[in-house]
Amino acid sequence: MTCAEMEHVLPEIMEGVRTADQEAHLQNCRECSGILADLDEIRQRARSLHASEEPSSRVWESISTTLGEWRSETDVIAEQARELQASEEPSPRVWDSIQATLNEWRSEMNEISAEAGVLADSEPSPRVWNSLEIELRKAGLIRRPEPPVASGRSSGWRWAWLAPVAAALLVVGVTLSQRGHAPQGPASVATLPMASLEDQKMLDAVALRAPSMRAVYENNLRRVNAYIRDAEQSVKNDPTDPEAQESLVNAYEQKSMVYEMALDRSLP
Amino acid sequence: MTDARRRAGGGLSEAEAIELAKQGDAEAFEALYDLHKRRVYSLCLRMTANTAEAEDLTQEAFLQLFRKIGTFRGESAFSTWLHRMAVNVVLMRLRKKGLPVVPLEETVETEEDTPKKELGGPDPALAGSLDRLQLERAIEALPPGYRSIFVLHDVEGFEHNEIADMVGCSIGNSKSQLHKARMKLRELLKTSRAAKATRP
Amino acid sequence: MENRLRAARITGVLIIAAVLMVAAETRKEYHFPVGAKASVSVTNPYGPISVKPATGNEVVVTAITHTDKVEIDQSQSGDRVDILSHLLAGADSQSGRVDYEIQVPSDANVTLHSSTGPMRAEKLQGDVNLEGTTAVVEVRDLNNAHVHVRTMEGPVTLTNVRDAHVDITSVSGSVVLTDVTGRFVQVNSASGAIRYDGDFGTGGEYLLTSHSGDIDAVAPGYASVDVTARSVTGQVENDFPLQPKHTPFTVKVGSAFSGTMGKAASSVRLLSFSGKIHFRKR
Repeated sequence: MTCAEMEHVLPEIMEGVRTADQEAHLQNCRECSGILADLDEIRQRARSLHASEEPSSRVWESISTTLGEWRSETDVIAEQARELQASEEPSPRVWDSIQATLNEWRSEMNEISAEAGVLADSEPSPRVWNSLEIELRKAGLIRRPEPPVASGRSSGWRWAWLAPVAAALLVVGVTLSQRGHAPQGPASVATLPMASLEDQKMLDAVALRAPSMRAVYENNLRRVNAYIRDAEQSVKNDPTDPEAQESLVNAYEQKSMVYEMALDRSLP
Repeated sequence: MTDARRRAGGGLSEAEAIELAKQGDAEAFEALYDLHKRRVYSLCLRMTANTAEAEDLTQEAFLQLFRKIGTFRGESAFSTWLHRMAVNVVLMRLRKKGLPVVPLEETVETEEDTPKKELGGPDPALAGSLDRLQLERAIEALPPGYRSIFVLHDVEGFEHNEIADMVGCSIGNSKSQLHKARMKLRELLKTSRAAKATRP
Repeated sequence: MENRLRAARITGVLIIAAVLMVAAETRKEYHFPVGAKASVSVTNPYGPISVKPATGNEVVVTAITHTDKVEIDQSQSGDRVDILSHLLAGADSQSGRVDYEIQVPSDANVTLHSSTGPMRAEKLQGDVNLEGTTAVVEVRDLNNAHVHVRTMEGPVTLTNVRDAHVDITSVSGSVVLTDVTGRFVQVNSASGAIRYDGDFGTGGEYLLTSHSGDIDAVAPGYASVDVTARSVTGQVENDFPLQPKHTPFTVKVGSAFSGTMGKAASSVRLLSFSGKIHFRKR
């Protein structure tokens, strides 16, 4: 092993992974063992800097003043709300004042959230992904993965998120009902229905990241859209049919899975 | 000792302070500030190498804590949660200023930034002779991107997967930049030592 | 003579290619000591992942890369181990491939992500989560585990999975369950075919649903089930003499049937929109 090769593997050695070859080189090479010892010293000394500095009293004074201002503003708002409740006719001035303060708070919160969003999404084309994610989460079409559920869970839990799914149904269902589709038997993939604008955006985003996967996503999205279309028609035919409702939930679960996979940036 | 602690007979635990602070208890919030101010401030100072900026960021981090403490569910340790919040506040400020948070692997480094290769024979080792002040000065002199990674990992103890998550890079990038940061620090420390030795 | 020369040349080229391939392979091994119920996550866009039980309290990861276009990011935080195949610029499904063999304590929770796979897990008892786009998924010999599989078009096979909670979602990949029993077994497929071959255990809920994929359930005569089957437009067949039951479910010859066998210990529902359903006797 040469010193140049040793330099290349130093990071792994610092994490405690070393082969016999590397150990032998370190035993025999003062320069490399010296570098390693220095880096180790730096790393160990660095820990002593943890929480080692004390802020001046100015910091707490400033925080305390700001919190006091916030509390006063809250008290004013609360007082105005009480005035509003008590009065027979709300004064326009009171409403204007409340709304102005709430708008200030709202834009402050939005700024923080937007900055956090920028921070979290620092890969190329974040806007496409973020706007898709936000729209889908609003529509309740995707949700965070949940931990495995303990035994004893029955299928009754599935109805719990029928409400947000029904909301998403309104969006898609209106579009499809305008097309006036009737349930159809199996058809070739090419003839299956496509796509809302969101579907096209998602496919374009997949194509940007992994062009070879676009066709896979498109074919499967068509199948899922056909599922949704037929399930919606079944529910429309008989809204009280529990199997039809279950079918619709299954269909939307499939769609949310396809979107989650498409938005998963760890995989092509 | 704050009033909140006195009220509780001097035994207000962190968990109690958190619950009271969630309800808006100012003294409980101050107790939390006292418990965590050093860690948050040290982090801000190391990342920015500027006292005024660090104080400003510390204030911002705690104000954000006040706004968001109601959302703390206890799924992680409070100090970890606050620590990550502070890191995000610092990183947001660095990004706003257009400063690199972490050098990208593809970035071409400047002559100044790249750790120099050793020339000539081996120097005296740092081990046993490195003091805190020397290291602090060397960290301040690091380019901002290297400084962030080094502080987050070696000083603050974040793992590479956490750093990658926070700053938006790959774990591999985090590891390679940390190594370069340490090599650069070594070079700075050796140079400073050599300069001292030649001073009359 | 000419043919022999040509054959020799071809053989020579193949040998050189093989040597070059082997030379480009890099094998790395990582060891992570862990405690009970460790959590192991592997994300590998291209290439196989195989998970088996380890002999001790450690996670052993063997990774073989074939080019320098991919690097292995590995990290441990307490009992959580994360492995990621990090694709570098210019990597594709060939150059970015990594072959993983993972050994974990049998009670570990395992999460595998792969685009092309295949993914295999065997002889585990913890939670097993597998997600792939076109990856073949094979799970076998699990006991008292939670198994979650999500795939777009990779075929899924579960064999000898007992006392389990199973949840499989597949868009167009086929799903084959052989000797799979548990408290809750659910398969949701759009166009992928579903085949179940087993006795449905002694008390569980089995839900096999599809949009257009055919559903084939094969059971022995001693199975103890309360079965409901319906296809909106597809054909439905039943080989068993079922006892009728009082239910608002509408029985319709050729499209829907419902009834019980034995003590009706397990609930079985076979539902499709346009797929064929066949409840078959083994």
